[in-house]
Amino acid sequence: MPYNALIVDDSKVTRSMIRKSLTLSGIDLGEVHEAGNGREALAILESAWIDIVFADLNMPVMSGSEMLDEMARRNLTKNTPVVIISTERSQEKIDALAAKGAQAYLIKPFTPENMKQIVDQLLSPGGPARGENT
Amino acid sequence: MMNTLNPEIVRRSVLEVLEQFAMMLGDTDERRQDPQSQPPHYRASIDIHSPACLTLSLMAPFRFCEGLAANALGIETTVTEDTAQDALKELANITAGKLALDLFGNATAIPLTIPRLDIILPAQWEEEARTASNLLFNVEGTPLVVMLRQC
Repeated sequence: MPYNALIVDDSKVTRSMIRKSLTLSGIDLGEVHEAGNGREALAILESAWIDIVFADLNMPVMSGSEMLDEMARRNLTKNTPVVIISTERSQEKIDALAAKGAQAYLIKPFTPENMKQIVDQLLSPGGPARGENT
Repeated sequence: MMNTLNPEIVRRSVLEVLEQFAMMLGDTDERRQDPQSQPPHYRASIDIHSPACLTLSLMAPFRFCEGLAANALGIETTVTEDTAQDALKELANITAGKLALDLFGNATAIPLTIPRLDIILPAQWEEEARTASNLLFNVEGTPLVVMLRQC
């Protein structure tokens, strides 16, 4: 079953790299949506079925952290796993984002193998996604 | 400022990120013989909010940014100016994250700002490339200048 993904990053180059990594990782991809900030991402989440979100943290207009807060407020993090892809590496930050509902954290630069490992874990039948409340 | 923060750490961080982000190899050019290159030159800057606020700046000609974008995206077609600039900003972003870890560890959060980009004049490029406290890299035949200073 193909998975629909949403890539949220203010860098077009990074969005393209994430899209390419998803393709190379062999994941069964359906539609891939792109947003340049958290606010654009929320609009897409309200209008399209998304199975997994890949989001940067530092973005103009609305950051990845603010987007997570808003997704939690709208009950969107329960059914849609969010993978944060960022350059920030502190455990304190990673723990804080997990508490907000992020289900995985990927450090830039990443490889397609890193991405596949996380996606397999999150979208596998026994994983936390697809309607499970985590 | 670069000297007090150990330029070897900065050098290693830049080279490691270049290789992982865009599979590009290079090293510092100690001789600084020919820092001139065809304009336009771009500067991508990002602040690292460690206890001592630092600004990391990466300066490079379009040719470097073009190659960086093409390598990162794995494409051989022409790269637009926007994409080339975006690639330099992302390189600054990833390098800042790596530097924050290498210089200060991962015990506490060290916020980074959103990278900003401006165009620098050829005379300024030459001055920055010749400044001894900045690191001048030769990356696959194109120059890259890295500067770290207090905010």
